[in-house]
Amino acid sequence: MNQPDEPISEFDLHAYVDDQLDPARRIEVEDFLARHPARAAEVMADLRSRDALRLAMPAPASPAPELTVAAGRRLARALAGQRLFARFRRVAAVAAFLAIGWFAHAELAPLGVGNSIASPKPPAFVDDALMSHRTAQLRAGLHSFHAVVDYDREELGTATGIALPDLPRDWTIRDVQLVPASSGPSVEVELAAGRAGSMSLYAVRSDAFRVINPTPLRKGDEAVVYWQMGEHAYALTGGSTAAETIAQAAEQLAASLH
Amino acid sequence: MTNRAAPFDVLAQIGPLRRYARSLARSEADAEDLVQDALLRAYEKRGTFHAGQNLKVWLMSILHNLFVSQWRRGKVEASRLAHVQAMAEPAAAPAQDHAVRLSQIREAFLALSDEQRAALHLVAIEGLSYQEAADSLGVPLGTLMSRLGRARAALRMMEEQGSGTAPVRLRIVGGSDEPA
Repeated sequence: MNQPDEPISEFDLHAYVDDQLDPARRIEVEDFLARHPARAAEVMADLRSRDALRLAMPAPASPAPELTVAAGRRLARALAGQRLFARFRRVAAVAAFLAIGWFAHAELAPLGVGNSIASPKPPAFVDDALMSHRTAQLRAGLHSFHAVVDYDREELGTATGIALPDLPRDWTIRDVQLVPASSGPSVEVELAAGRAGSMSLYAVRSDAFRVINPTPLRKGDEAVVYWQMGEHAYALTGGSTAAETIAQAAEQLAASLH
Repeated sequence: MTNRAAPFDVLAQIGPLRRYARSLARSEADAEDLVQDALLRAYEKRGTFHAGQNLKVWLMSILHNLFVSQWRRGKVEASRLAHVQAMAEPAAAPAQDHAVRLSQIREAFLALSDEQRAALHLVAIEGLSYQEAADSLGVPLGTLMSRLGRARAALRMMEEQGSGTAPVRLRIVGGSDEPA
């Protein structure tokens, strides 16, 4: 009857058994199985053994040993404390800088040369930001790349562990990309922002704890403003003719993250 | 992801961890030790856990690494076979023929290679997505899929042969792990 658009692969058959297909693909697999009784028998056997396995290997009925539960409690407390600390750091990073900043700085980033007072050399993520801005400009000119215009900062934040700013409403999102960086995934958002023209917002989780207020930097034709709050580092990049506007926008974004 | 609501519900993961440890270690006593060690190790490594990560996947991967690095060698190997037999007894007995079938599948599952058992456990019993299972085992998706494929083929063989008379003791001793 209906031939499926894509041939059914081993992967599809496994994913059918493990219920990891979307409904449309499930129907295609079922259609395939209806025409291939031998494969259908195998799939049935796999389904049977999956269900039997779940019954045969239940979670232990006996209570966990006390030491295990105690170790679990200790871990839960530590992780919750860590989370609280991360949130506190994000919210109060700037305010708390004078109080705990020097201590944290010395403790957590003994090799980080830059600090928030004067940063003679911009941190490494700024180069990454520039490079991904240039790549994005290139990508925008290619028709074979599909742009993603959905900026779901909750989802992106959960997936990458980076706090992302709320963007002004009059900005248009042209593309959103996850880009690998040495310290983990980073988020690259292509924007069109009125007079400033096209800009890139780059956000990454840095492995050095720093507090850097928005700092402008010129690199040839490009203007970058970078800032960092704890482990969350950001850069806004655009054309150097719009340097003023970019600086203002960066201040605004940085403030919205507090 | 459900870990938003109760982000660090470690206690809720103890059941699944114990179940996974049993599949890996194939002995109840060793499994309890393995879970305890894994939680201590997780505490030491708590700094590597970051927001947005799936707690279950993280814990399962710590437990698995521990099993591979310490447990598989020496300690467990010697006492393993006796335990396999002990664990192969059905825990509770539902209907009789049902119980026989469950004990057969348990035995066939425990006879799989370590890699195949881990892959099948995470996907079929814990219900992790393929990507989560691959992450948790630290292998590429393709490797996970081929282990899964071989595990299922082995269970199917069991199915074809085993539905007969006296329970066939299929026990693979040595040389059962596929290369790399």
